[in-house]
Amino acid sequence: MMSEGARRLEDYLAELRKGLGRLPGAETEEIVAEFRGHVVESAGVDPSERAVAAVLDRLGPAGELASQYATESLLVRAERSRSPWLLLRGLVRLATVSVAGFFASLGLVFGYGLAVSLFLAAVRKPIAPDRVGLWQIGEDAVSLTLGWGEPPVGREILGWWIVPIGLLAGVCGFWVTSWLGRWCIRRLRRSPVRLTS
Amino acid sequence: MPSDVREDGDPIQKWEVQLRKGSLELAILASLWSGRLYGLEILRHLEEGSRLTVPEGTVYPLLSRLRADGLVEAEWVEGEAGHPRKYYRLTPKGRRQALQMQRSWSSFAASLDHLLAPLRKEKR
Repeated sequence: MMSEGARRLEDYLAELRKGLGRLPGAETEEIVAEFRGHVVESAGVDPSERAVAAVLDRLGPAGELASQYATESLLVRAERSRSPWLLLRGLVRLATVSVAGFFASLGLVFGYGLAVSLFLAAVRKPIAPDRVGLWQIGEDAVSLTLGWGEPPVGREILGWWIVPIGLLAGVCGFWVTSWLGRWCIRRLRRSPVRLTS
Repeated sequence: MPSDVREDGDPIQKWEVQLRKGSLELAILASLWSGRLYGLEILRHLEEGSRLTVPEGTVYPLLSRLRADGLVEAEWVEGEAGHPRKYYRLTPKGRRQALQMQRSWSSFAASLDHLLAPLRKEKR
């Protein structure tokens, strides 16, 4: 029959395993086994509930531990990925623990948004030549339109040059944004701020 | 301790926490310098060797990160403990990084120590 201490440990490990749900099974079991070893060795082979509770208390909530591993796993994948979605998920996760992460995720959204808009403008220019383009709408203001709705009142700047420039700037902008996103994740992932106190 | 510091203890505590966070990676790499250790041994080494009070749950995810960065490697060993232990050891990259961090830390500590000399005289 399972002692109270053992039951408490199993509950904790079950919560940890649940929190690690998105990690590969082998990795999850390795983490769980490491914590099991830690508790057994700290509290003894057949420990009292009190001894187990003291060790678990020092380890902190299982959900928090699982979250740290899940974040790390996501960031490691994002750091090596070219997927904008994964990069964005990684930076949004970092935004929850650092201001730098917040601004980096905003920058990523802006960068991808601009790159996609420029690319779309280049692709749609032949479809709606009078409504797609870059327009000067004031002294220091320009507007990029993609052909949905009426064009703004102003002077079109690039004309048909929007096609090669939009294609080039869109592709390069996408690449540069991804590179910067990976760079931010690399830097922020190793930041001590991410460690819990 | 002066009363103003005691009353305003929170900022000092927060500062100490940040300091600990910033130095924990180097402390772990330094613990592994002489050979392989498992998680609990690393914690004991940190507490006994440096009196660094480390939240236990912090060390394992950090070890996992150091492993992902190729600074440490891990192996499971079946031993006399009755359960397998996960031992960590420094990789060549980890040893290089530990040395670089130690040099930076020593240089920084010496500079700050120099700056703090007048404060130490004040205390006396």
